[in-house]
Amino acid sequence: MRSSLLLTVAAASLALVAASGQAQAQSVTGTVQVNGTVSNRCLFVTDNVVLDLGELSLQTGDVSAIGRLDGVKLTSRTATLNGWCNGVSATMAVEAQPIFNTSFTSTAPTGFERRIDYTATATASPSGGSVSASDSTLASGGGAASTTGIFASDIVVSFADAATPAGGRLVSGSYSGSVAVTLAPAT
Amino acid sequence: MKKTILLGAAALLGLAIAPAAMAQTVTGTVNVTGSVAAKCVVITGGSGGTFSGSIPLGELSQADGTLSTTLSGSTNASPGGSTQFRVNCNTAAPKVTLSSTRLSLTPSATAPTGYTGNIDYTAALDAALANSTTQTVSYVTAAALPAATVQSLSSSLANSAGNLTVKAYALNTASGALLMAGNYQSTISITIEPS
Repeated sequence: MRSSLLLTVAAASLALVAASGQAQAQSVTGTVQVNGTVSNRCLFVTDNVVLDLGELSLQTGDVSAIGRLDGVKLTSRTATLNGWCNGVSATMAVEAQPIFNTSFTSTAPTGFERRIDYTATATASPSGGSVSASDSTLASGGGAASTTGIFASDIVVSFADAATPAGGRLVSGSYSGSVAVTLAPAT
Repeated sequence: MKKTILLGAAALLGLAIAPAAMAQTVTGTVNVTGSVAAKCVVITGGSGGTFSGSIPLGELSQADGTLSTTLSGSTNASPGGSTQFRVNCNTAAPKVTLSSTRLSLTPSATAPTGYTGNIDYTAALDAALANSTTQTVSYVTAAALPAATVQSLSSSLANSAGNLTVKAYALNTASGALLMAGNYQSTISITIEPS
């Protein structure tokens, strides 16, 4: 009888050990990092606009002015592009080319001219405020770039300082110039 | 004289026989017991109680600046990215807890109108089970992150390599949103308990 009691106590002791093991159940934890990148990028949604200025010379008014450049024909107009850049370092730059008579390519006679200079300004509208970049056709190369940062907006190109080199009369014909607006993702 | 001696001998014999007829036996029983504690252990992808990995999704945007259609159209069957681990659990229905953060521009920045620096997606854990089926536990991120998904597996984890697959798929942003340039990060957190 005494032996039997001792064995029962031993079994109870083992049961306690087992219960203790279950209380220490182990869990595991994991961490997975998901990552990706978005490259700096700029894109024009509207990348080409043709601005038809119509008749470029004055048709009425002071007789001495008739036939010379009617600058308002250019400075009263704007052209609207549309684009975006997704990086904080994005820039915008402008390079304007003079408006030349493409029908009459010879040297213009005295008192006449076939070149129109101007200053073009492109203005984008980031959320922090408008940013502009300009270039004059009187200067070689393009204008200085301006930092736009992240934006998605119209880019309005306006014109100023329209003039012919010597204020002469314009040779008849078709005239053509261009303004290139460059959006650069990062400098 | 001789008679007396014989009687004495008989008496002695009688005494010797009596104890042998009353002998008693005893029996003993020894119960041998043991236990196996419920546990989960990391076999590959970490050690002990922790595992870690990464899912590199690469370039997130497409040429027009919006979220890659490959990533937005990804599914559990064809995820944007995945990684595998092996965890052994010795219980019949391990409990999985899964949560994740949004895939966000890091460091964060305020997004101008039309842009976003946050991408929501589905984080999923596919658990290969001992009964040869796969159970998916998923969690979908949002601006206001929902509570973690807690789910008990319907069977024991399979005793096989790569029995856990963590996936990222169904990425999404506001319609037409342009992604701000930079690095994006998210963290998927997983806990597997024995029961």
